[in-house]
Amino acid sequence: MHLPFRLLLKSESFASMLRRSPLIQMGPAKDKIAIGRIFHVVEDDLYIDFGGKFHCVCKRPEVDGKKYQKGTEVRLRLLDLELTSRFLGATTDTTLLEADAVLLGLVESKQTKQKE
Amino acid sequence: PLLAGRRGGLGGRSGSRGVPRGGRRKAGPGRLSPELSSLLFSPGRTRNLLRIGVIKKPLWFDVYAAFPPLREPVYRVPRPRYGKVKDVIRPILYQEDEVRAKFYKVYGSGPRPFNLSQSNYKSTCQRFVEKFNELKEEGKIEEEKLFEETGKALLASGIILQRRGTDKVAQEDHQGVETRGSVLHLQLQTVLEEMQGQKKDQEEQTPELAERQKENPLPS
Repeated sequence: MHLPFRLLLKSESFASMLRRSPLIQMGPAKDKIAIGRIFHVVEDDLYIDFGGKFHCVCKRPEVDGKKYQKGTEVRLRLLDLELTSRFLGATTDTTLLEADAVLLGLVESKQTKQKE
Repeated sequence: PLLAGRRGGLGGRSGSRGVPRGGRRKAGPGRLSPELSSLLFSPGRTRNLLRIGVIKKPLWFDVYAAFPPLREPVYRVPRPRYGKVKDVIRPILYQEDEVRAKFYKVYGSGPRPFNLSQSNYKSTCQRFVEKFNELKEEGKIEEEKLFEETGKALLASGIILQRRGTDKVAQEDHQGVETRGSVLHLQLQTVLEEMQGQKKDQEEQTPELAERQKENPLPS
């Protein structure tokens, strides 16, 4: 079986792993489509984790609203990995500890998805 | 190496803090050792809390006492930089970032959504970059054509790349599942036609594709 070089080596350096990591592959997060998983629900607010530094919070959509429960996989369009802003007179930014994304919908089932 | 570190640490610390030198005195059962008390002198929040009895001893407490850092990790406000002085931390950029930037500019996000949770995940962009490097190493194709050739090579291996050109193409992405199959069919058709040598320039594909897709949603 043909194994990639980095799996044949028992340990891979952090720099090498970072270079190949999906985060670096993605680049700037603006307008990228990602898959997230809902890990917490508070009535109409869905807390979605997509593997970035922070999670994002989205409103439950009207279409198929009941289908969005804990553990559901959803498609997101990422806007920002971390919501930060600098207030007037401050020396550093203030962070909300949250990412920003637009909820596109549920992840389609495997039958309808095309194999690449 | 453990002992050497300890001795070095002791020497350094006593020099800066003025603790009386000498061998390590044994601490009594209820007392903190001199190294520890001298060490946690100023920001000794943990030490104070421990003394009061509010928290129980954290795991790192003894370790920190035994192997303290060279500089106490107190936050120091960084000096404001003027003029040409630059940050010591360089931005993280790789050679393949050029290819990635161009890929995202032309093709948008990519046909497949990113799954950042998987550590060995390979996005479409990554495959594109690898193909690009492969073709570059082969050296047969010249620089300007490399980008297009990589696109064609990926199409041949089954990965469909939709250009981020006209709005109609972008809207088709979100419409539904039924249209995707027909869109794929149309794209394959155009690719076949191209490979048969009818069209060379890929830009001509997009308006044609857009026209066909305009006809497509009408029956559905």
